[in-house]
Amino acid sequence: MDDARWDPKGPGAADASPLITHEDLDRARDRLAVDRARQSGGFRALRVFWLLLGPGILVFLGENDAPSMLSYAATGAHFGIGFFLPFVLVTFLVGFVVQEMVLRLGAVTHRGHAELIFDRFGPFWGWFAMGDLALGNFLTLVTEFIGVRAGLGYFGVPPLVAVGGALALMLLIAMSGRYWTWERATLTLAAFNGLFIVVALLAHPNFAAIGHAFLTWGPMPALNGNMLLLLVSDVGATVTPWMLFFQQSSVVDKGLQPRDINSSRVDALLGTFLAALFGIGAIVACAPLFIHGVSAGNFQGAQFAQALRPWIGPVGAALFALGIAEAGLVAIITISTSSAYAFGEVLHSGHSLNRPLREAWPFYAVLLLSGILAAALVLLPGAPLEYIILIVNVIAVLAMPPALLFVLLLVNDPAVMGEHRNGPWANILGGGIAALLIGIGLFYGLTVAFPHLIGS
Amino acid sequence: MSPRAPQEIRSDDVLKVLEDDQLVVAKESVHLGLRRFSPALRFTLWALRIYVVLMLVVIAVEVVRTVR
Repeated sequence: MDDARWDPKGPGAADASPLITHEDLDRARDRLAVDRARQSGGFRALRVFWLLLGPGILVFLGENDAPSMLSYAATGAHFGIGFFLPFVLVTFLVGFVVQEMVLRLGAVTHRGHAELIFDRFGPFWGWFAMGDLALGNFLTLVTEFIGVRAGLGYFGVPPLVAVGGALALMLLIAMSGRYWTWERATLTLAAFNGLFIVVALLAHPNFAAIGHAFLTWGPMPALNGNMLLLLVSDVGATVTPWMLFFQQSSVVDKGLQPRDINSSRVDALLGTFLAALFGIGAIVACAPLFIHGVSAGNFQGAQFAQALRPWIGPVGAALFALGIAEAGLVAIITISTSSAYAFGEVLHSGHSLNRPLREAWPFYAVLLLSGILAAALVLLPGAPLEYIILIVNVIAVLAMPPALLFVLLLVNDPAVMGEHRNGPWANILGGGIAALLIGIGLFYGLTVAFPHLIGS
Repeated sequence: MSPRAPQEIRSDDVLKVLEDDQLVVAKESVHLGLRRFSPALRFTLWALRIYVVLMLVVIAVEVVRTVR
C-alpha cells in the first residue's frame, strides 16, 4: 500500500465529521452491529456469521444462473447420471479457490477489483480487463433474460411482461439505497435455486447410481464434440470473470475487514456447496430424458419442463420452469451490479449500494442501461437460444485466464496484501487452475479448427 | 436479526468501527502506485491477450459454421 495513507485522526483532520459520507455512515452501522454481535451472549458465532454472510453465497448462487442451470439440464439429458456429477462438484471447488483469493483482496484493500487493476497495472491493461468483463457480462445478461422469458413463458406470461418485470424487480431492489437490504433481498430470491433439489427428488433418482458416479467418476461418456462443449460449458458455469469483480466489490461495499476473512471463507464455502448441490440437482432432474432417449438438442427452460412432465409430474415441471426463471432473475441482479461496481470504480464516481441515486447516478445508470440493452435483445425473435447459452459459458472460460493472472498478481503483491498475500499452496492451486483453463480452451479451439480430432 | 439496531451513529463511532482506509475520502485520495512490469510479466500479459482474441475468433468461426 502507498506510504501516504490518509489519517482521519491525524493533523489537518481534527474535525473529521464533514469528511464522513452517507456511504460511510451506513457501512459503519453494519460494522457496529457486527462488533456488538461479537460481544453478545449465546449463539455469538452464529449471530456474527449471519451478519457477515452474503457475498460468498450470492456469488455462487448468482453463478447458478439460467445458462448454467440449462447447461446442467442439457448435461443430464445427454449423459444422465455419471461422470458429470463429481465433475461439477470439482469445478465448484475450483471456483472456491479463485473466489477465496478475491474475498481476501476485498477485505484487505477495501477496493474493488477493477479499481485495483487500474491502480496497479494502469489503464491500458485495465481497459482490456474491462472489455472482457463488459462483453462477457452483456452476453450473459442476454441469456439471463432468455431464461426468465423461457421459465415464465411456461406459465403463459408474455415475453414483454416477463422481461420487463425482471428488469423492474432488479431496479427496485437496487434502489433500496442500502447494501444490507439489497443483499438480503437477493439472498432470499437466491434461496429458490433449491427448487432444483425438489425437482430432482420428484424425478425419483437412482441413489445407488448417484453414489456409484461419485465413487467411480463413471459411467464416462464418449469424448465427442457435444461432450466437449458441455464440459467446457459446465466449467464456465462455475468460474467466470464477473464473479471476481462482483465478490470483491460486494465485500468492500459490505465493509468487511481482514478479521472477517475466516467468516467470509465459510460464507464462500457454503455458497460453493449449495451451488454444487443445486447444479447436481438439475443434472439428476433431467436424467429421465437420457434414460428414455428424449432428444434435448435445442431445448430452452420451458421445453425441458415440458419434456420432463411425464416423469416429474405437472408440479415438478412447474417448479423446474420457476427455477430457471429464478436463476435468471438472481443473475440479472448480481451480474448487472458487478458491471455497475466496476465502471463506477474505473470512472471514480460513486459505486456503492449504500449511496442514494442522487449521489451515484452513473452507478445506477450502468445498472439500468446494461439491463435494458440485454432485455431488448432477448425480445428479438429467431435466435438459436440454447446454442447461445452454451457458447456464453464457453466465452466465460476463455476470458478467465487473463482475469486469473491479475488476481494472482494482486494477491501475491506484498504492497497490496501485506501479511495476507498468497501462500505457496494457494499459488500452486491458482496457477494450476489457470493452466487447466488455458488447456481446456486450447483443446476446444483445436477441435473447432480440426473437427476430425474427435467425433461430432 | 438485522444491523438496523444501531440507527444513531456518531462520527466518532464511524472512525472507531471503520478502518482508516475504508472511508470514502481515504479511498478517493490515496491510490496505489503502478507496479513495475518485468519482461516476463509483459510477455505473459500479451500472450494471454492474444490467446483471448484468437479464441474469440475460434468461437466466431464455430457460431458461423453452426448457423449455416
